[in-house]
Amino acid sequence: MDFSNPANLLIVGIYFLLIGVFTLFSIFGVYILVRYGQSIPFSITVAIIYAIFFLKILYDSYSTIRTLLI
Amino acid sequence: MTHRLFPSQMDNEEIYLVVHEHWFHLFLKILVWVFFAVALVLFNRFAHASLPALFLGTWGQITLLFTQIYTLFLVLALFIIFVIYYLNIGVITGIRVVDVVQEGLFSHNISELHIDKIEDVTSKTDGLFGTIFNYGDVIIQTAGAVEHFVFDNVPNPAGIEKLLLDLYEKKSNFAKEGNENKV
Repeated sequence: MDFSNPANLLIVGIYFLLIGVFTLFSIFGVYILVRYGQSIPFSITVAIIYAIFFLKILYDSYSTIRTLLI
Repeated sequence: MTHRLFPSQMDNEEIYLVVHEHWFHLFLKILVWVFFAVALVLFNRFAHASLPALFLGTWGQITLLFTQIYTLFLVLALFIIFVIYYLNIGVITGIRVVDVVQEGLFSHNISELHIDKIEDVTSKTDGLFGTIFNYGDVIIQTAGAVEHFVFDNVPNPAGIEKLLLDLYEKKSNFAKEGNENKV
């Protein structure tokens, strides 16, 4: 990634800030779902389905930002 | 394999009712979510024709990145809506009423009230949708430190009120019989 351009640095900074917040909320959401949920198998199933979607989109966005900044 | 519904639940404690917020309230939240999801779909559908420059070269990559982050936000929002709905429960057992409140991701409150501390129970159905779908609030007046105990937007509030009063009657009759036997 080319960080010599301040615009790139700004895009990467905003990207990682948003992704960091989303990831923190996701991890905490899964944690409270499994900890306080009424059924562990149900909670884990929901968490896995969510994680698949979240990680797939996260991977796609990371690929995009790499392509953008190379 | 199940969790205890609340930390102080006893092994032999009989659960009479576990109640979530009425599905219509979940539906309303999901409707707001759908509005934001439709905005993305419309953007992808119509912006190609009206603003083709947004999808070419570097701007195309930036637009793609924006839509991916927006999608990530939508997925996260739907997950949080579900988690908050699923973790907010009211529990009525043979000896107590428990209100488990998940306010956002970082606040989890559990209030308990023993059945024999109940002074008065009120069920309240408000509004057009509350009347049509039969949901509303159940307000429990207590003799304890917490004056009010409220189940918000629960289905069949009158039924819950009746259940609570029946349990109270049962408990007080049982206590009276115990006192008479002692005498």
